[in-house]
Amino acid sequence: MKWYEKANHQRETVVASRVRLVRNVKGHLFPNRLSEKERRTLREELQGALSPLFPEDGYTYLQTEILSERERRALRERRLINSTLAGHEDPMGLFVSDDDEKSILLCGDDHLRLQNTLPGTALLPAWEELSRLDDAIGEVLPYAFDEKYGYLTAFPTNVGTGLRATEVLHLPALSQDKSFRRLTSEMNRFGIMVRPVYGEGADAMGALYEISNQKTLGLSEAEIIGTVQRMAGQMATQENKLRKALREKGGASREDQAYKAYGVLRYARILTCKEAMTYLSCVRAAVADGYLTLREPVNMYGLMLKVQEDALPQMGGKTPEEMRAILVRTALPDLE
Amino acid sequence: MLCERCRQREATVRFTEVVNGVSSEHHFCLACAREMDFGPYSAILENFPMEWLLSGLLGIGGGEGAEQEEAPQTRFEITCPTCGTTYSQFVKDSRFGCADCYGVFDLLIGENMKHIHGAERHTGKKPRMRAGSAAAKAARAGAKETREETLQILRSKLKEALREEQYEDAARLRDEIRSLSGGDAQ
Repeated sequence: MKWYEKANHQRETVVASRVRLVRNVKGHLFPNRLSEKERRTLREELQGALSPLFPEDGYTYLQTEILSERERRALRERRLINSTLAGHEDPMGLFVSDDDEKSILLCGDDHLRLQNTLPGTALLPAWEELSRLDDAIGEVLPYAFDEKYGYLTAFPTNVGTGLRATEVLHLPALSQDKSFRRLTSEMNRFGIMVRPVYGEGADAMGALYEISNQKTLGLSEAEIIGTVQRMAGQMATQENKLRKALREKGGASREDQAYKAYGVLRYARILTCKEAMTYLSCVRAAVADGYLTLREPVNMYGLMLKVQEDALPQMGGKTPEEMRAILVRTALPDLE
Repeated sequence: MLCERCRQREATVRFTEVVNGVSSEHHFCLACAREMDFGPYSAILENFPMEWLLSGLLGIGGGEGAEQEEAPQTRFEITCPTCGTTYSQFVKDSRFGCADCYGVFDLLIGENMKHIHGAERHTGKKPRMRAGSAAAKAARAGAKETREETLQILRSKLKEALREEQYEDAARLRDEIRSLSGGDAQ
């Protein structure tokens, strides 16, 4: 079972923590400089070297060029490849753990891209696990490393540690607050990026935001993780304060919104992605704030992932909007 | 490819000249290119356009207009001998072609690395040695430290030279640094 499918009563503002490392192997040009044939050869070589580390019971290995465009986009929605790569037919390899926590992309923008995602506030444990995996890989493959620039990467924006540490936050109140813009630009000054997980700018869907480090050179991994965790923590605190203030203000309006959102999700026959995301976000916040009590635990973030365009199961005679409505109303538990 | 003038250093500047519709290509190292007289183009090499790199990274694409001014008659290129990535390509795509690009473009990218990262030296983890040859590696690491010290000194001299706009000295120091750190490449 995937980590985001495990039922939980997660109420925290921090939904998940993710660390990603970019690595290249000595003696080979970076993937974008390789012909398709060379790229394939290198991928087989890397796969051969790494497969003892990623046994078949626990990991799946995929070759991306045999996937359809939709399947590649679905990998992007699961954050296993980036959007540029999802649009390419270049041969890439992907080891992915059965719970979707760990993944290793071969021959993407760089030779290797290692990733680990854990639910909740867990950057440090996620990093420790990934660093051990990085060490194990470093023993079989010689990394391209320079005393001055650290781990050498295709993009100068990744060089040094090659580390991107990200926390996924659910910010339904803060993102609607007038202080949000100021707060995100303040974060930028600390080298922290804030961007919506789905959609862009004001069109952010589901109020999910990623907080991650911009700089990768000149800081140790522990410093990067510390900063991201601290900044994400501050945003989460702001969100919780605002929600508390709204609760204390009282009135029936927020409760009404919560029930309406639940009602739509439970009874609608057609749901666009935006609608589903908006109401799921509303229900997640309402459960956390105590306006709604669900009879069974459910992973709301997992549901948000499942209603994305390319993740939806396909069934003859049903439109994606109809499929989404079916999926949501069967997954959403009764109210207490 | 070696520089066709000094025949000692790696040629990283490609100079294309078009005379009466016939184009000829020359390859020089940065040090020689800086010493030679290319008329108005010498200025390009002396004050290598750092802002190109930055605009490329920011996706403004200022490089294109500047390129048009040079073209079609004469063009300069700093080229990575390993993968063939040219500096202007790097500016355009903001991406390197191989690990060696970092050494080749080192002088040109240092300032911009500071712009992006606020730092120019890695301080995080390093790759672990393979257990099998731990002793040999340790011995090599010992030798590396003194060389690392020499490199430090050369680097600070280089910075000084750049600040004083002594480009000839800077190029010489850069080459020394490269040959010293190049010995480490496998």
